Amino acid sequence: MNYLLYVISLIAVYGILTVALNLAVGYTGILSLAQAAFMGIGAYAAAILLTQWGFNFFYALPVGMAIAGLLGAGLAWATLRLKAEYYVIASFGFQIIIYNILLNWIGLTAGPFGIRQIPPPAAFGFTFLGPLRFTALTLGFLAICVWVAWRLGESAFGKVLRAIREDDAAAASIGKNVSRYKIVIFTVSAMLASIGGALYACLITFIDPFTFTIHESIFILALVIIGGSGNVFGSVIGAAVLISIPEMLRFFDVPTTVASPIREILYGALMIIFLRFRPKGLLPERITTGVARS
Amino acid sequence: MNHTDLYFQVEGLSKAFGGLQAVNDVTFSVAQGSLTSLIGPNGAGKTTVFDLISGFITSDEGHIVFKGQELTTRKPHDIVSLGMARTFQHLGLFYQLSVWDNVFLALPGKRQERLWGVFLPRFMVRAERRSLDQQTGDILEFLGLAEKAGEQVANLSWGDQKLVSLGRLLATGGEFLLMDEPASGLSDEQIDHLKSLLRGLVSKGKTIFLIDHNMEAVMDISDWIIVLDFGKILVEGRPEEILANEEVNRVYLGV
Repeated sequence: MNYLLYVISLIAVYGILTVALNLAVGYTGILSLAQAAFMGIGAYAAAILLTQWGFNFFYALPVGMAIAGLLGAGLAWATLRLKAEYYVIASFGFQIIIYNILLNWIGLTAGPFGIRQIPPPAAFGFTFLGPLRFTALTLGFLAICVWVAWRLGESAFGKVLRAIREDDAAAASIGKNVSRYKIVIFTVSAMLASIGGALYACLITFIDPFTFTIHESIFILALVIIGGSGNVFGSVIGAAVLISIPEMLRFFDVPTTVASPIREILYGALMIIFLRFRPKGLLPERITTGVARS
Repeated sequence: MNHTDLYFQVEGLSKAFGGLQAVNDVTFSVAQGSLTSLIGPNGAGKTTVFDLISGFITSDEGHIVFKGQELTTRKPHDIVSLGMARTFQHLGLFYQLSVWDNVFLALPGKRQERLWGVFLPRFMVRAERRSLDQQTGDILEFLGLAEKAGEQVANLSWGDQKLVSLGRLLATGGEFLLMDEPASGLSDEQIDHLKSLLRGLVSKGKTIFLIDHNMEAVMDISDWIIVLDFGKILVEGRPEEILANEEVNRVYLGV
């Protein structure tokens, strides 16, 4: 039972990270390889503030969101003029910078030793201790993030994002401030990813920089593509499928040393299969016509 | 330069791409409420002039002044907010979206296009939405596209896609409309429809500045014509003056 709740929490955490990335990748067409960096910022902000500063989780969370949001806005602003393929490289660069800061700023992050004994979230005398409470918390955050992303995606704001994805010059020609939209959506995406990171830190109770590498960014990108680029609910489904399938390996008595590479191969194979046979993912994007009912 | 006298004026505009002088010291003005055409052979620099005016590329030298405002340092979206909008030769529509959404998107002043507006309760944006829906419906009705409102733009014929680009242009609320080859690829019947639409817009107070290669249509509907050749203005005048001009006939019309 506890194990099942742990897997559900993990799915919720990755659901948040995937929904957040989908806003940039799926809706706006900004292919980013920096999601693990924003996840790491959220995770480390929570871990440091909870273990060293005695912060309440619900106060630490906005701090991580603010840092991730500012860095996300900065990255978006600095790379606005770049074409799509160059942006991927720039986001990769940002990912490497954050990873190296986490690894080498030992005074703050404990570097490769990581941060241990991260306490569970607590607020107003109530501690989200134990799998059931924590799972409820992560599912609650997932619901909020899905709602935020869904409102953004399905509103007139989301239609502008899709217009930018199709042709940003054409979007500018009808008066849309393309730069502002890109900065805003990237900031929101980074902030939501930091929530996923903070919850991840409390779920695993130990973090080190090796979790927040380019591999993790590619994994989250795979969840977006397999779930359905441009579909918020697809992101949750994608996370559920790709987190739970490898977890099933545990039931087949496969040694850890073998299970890990099998998991990687499985992810790679699923990516290729989906891109070849179902490029729009498990839940393809649905674009409403918008026509007013008379 | 006096920025207040004229509705729209370009003065000493130049743009080079590497060694190619695409636009070379071009000066002209467009009268408010007129239909002015910019013609010239391929490669004359017509689309570059449009790109400069609408802020998609920056000029090397010169001024572009619209209603007293200097445009050369402004971004495209900012220029639209001043009341000037454009279409593209390649249309640049949002092909995955519906006809309705292509037009709806271009309407200005939506609170729901702002981050905070997305989270407003529905009852607070209902009146705004109703008004925007009404405007979208009116534009589609005006262009004869109402029946196709729900269709994905990618599935439309070229002629209908051209109408959608016109609808999107009108939805911006712009008073000064730049159209890049609106008649290209259209049948004679569609061109007749387009001509009456454009003259109708001018009679409603819009100012139109267009590029086209269809001389018959240009001569028919223009109040004023500017001929560009090798990035320079060859001549400008009323249609009958342009038709009678030997230099234009030699360089452009090949007569």
